[in-house]
Amino acid sequence: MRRFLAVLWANVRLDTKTAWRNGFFAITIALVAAYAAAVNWLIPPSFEAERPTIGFVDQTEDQRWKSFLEPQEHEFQFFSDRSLLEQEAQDHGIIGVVACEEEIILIIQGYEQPKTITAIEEFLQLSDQMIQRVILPPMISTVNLHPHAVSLPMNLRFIPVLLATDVMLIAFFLISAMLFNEKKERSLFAYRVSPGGTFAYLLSKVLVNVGNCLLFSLLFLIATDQWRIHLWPFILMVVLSSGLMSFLGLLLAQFYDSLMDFLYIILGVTLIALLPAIPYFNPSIAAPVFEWIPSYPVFFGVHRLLEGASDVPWQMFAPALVLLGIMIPLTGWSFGKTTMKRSGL
Amino acid sequence: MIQVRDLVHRYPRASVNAVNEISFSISKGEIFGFLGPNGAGKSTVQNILSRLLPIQSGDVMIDGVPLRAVKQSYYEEIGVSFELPNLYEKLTGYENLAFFGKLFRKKTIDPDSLLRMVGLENARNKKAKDYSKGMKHRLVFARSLINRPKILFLDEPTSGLDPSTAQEIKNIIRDQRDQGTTIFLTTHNMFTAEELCDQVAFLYEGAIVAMDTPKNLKLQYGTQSVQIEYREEDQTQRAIFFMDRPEEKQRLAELVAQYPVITLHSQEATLEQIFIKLTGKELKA
Repeated sequence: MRRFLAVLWANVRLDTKTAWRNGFFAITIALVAAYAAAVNWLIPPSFEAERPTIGFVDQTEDQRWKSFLEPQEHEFQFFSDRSLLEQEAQDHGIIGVVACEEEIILIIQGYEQPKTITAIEEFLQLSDQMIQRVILPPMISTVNLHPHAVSLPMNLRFIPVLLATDVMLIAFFLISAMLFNEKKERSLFAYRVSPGGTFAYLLSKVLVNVGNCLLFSLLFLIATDQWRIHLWPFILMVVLSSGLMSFLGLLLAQFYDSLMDFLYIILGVTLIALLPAIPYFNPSIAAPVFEWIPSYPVFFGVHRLLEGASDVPWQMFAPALVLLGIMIPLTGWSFGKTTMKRSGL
Repeated sequence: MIQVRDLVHRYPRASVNAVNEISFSISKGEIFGFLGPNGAGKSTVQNILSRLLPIQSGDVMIDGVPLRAVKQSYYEEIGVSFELPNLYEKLTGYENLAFFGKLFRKKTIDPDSLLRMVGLENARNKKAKDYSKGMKHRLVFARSLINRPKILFLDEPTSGLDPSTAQEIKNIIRDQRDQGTTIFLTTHNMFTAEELCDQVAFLYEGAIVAMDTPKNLKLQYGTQSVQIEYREEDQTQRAIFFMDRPEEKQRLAELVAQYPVITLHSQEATLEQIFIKLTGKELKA
């Protein structure tokens, strides 16, 4: 074991030195600067579109609609006359409602989302029933399970996305670049006739890449002023995801001769790794299959921590742990059989 | 030290064997030269002996132990010098050697003394990418010695070196032999082989066509030859004729009668000429 650790340490020093001299850490710092600039200045805190203004004309004798809706005055624009409302709808594209004694007329532009129209219709029906005392206004109270949780502004919601992208970029792309570099200069072929061993070789590269990912992630948190989150679960997530992607990068890259040949695989894997962005931004599309993608814990775990949670459920890590348990021996075995033996002879 | 018996190797999807039932043995402290043109199977044999290729058929014993049974620790005892440079280009010469030195369990040679040995002490802190081809070759050679190997595999050890550096490298190889290192040398340079090897084997199309000491090979196959230079259609032509072959004697007589002769020398056969005689091919082909 002592021998293995000594060889591993020699490899880690070598890989760190070559990564530094190849500019990998400079790329990391540049990415931190670019991503932090995006979060701090480019992405707005809110993307929410303005709610559609509804113009209202109450033609009932007792002006019951007006008195019912007055408490929500800021959401409605009242007109004294239907022609004025129609003119405003023509000029500014608003939705109009004309409440008569027997009916309610909805004036629309034609391009609204059907669900917007349905929501307005349901609101009007419910309001009509309440006005006519058919039903009483419901008593609504709120129980907050996470009273200290903060709703993330949109720019901060992008932090997990950018972190996941970077874990992909550094862990998968840079580790394959390291391997292709050693294939090109043929130093790999010299290493394999030394007693260094395959696993120390692989583990060293993964450790250097995981270290680089951690460096990025922590600097990114500092640069976006989010460093007060609970760090241990955060570090665990980054280590797990980047470790998994690094092993995957080595496993696949060994079968290719150059970065150019490998580009399609990088693009494919990047796309897959970004798939958790779909349930992240649109939770109604969540499916269990997304949880098996290595970047999943970064998306959802980091989001949770940014909202103020002190931990991340272990179930979130489970798929990544299972995959890592498969990937480590598979990469070691495959590398020992091919790259460390016959390839390149 | 090394016994090879009936070794056969065929690459996937190849229709013929790259190595075809070859057998040889190398004693401890001997320099054994494998001579053959590119593609003859020299590197395949070296890759099998250095465990980069599996043994498909036949047996290899290293110091009495089957090669199939040796573990990763085998690399503690061997040194391999490649024909093509394979260095960490972003590391200095010293860093390249120091890294490999740390991979061994046993005590290794100080990188600085190795750099001095191959004349690279002044390029100690220069990155390998800035080395010339000859300097890279010397560094690769120095690296193969770092663990004081019991067996040294050298692939074209003097390739790309100027004559004086090549001579220094040859002296180091001889020193290693004198210290008891067994050396397996593959080359297509007959002069290197003739100068260094205690025993040589001619490898051609995967088979050994002759094997003995250079002196014995010359005694056995090396008849006197005549080298002639003559003018033919305003061009200087050169040819070698072996005097033990009647048809070549006849052809020489015809040339002398037919064309103006510029020079005519009798000479002792070289290893290359013997190789040509045995295979009909040149070593550099």
